[in-house]
Amino acid sequence: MSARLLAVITPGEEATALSSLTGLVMIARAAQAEVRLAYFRDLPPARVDRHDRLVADTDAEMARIAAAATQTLGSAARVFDDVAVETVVRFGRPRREVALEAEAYQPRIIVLFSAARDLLTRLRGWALRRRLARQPETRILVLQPTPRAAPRRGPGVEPALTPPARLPARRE
Amino acid sequence: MLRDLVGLVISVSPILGLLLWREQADRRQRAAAIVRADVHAGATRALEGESLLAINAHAPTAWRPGRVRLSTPTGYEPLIGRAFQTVLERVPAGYEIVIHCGGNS
Repeated sequence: MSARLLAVITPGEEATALSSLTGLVMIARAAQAEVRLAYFRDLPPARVDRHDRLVADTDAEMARIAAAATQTLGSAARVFDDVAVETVVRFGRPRREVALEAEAYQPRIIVLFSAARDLLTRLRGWALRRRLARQPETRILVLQPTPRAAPRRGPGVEPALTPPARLPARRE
Repeated sequence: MLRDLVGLVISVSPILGLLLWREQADRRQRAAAIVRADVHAGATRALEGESLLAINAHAPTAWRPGRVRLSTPTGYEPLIGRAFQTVLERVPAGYEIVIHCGGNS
């Protein structure tokens, strides 16, 4: 396990990352790499009740989110015992934090998950890719979940295996 | 004389611009085709023959990096894993690898 693989999960991509984890591990196995699942989030605001009394400050919120993310990602990754997977959570501006993490971890492959449908998230993803592409010796890999076509059911579509209601009269 | 020249330049420049743009696009497509052929040859060798792994390459432009897309039919995703190391070695810098993975990968 010499190569390093950094999987970048930004807000809004959690479900895609979890569903693409099998593909990610498959790639790590092929590249003989160790995986770091890095979850990036903005700094959470302090939580207050309706009387503006402090329920949890930013530190407590960060600890709660980090624990939840580590547990969710860690338990999903624990299934694959043949690949070393570690989970980290970083708070701050996601683009800047991703660049810092990539600089510090020096991965060979950076994996991004592409699930964005809206224009703003796509633009952010594009800017992030441009920033990461400046790093030499690093390959950008984008995991896109394949959309599965739902079976079409409706009054206009007849199942192919259903026999017709009335068979044509046989001519003697 | 000068007015004729300016008129000539103005009337010819759109056509020249279009030709230059087309030439540039053709060059990019040729480069992407070469990358695709190289990756396809590597993947075919790694998988010991033709397979259901589909490879598609798009050349880089000014605003986005080049892309090599790998996809398989549902249920054949392990092919990507088997060919991935070769693909990674053959994809040039400035290209990103896009993998379409389903639930069976």
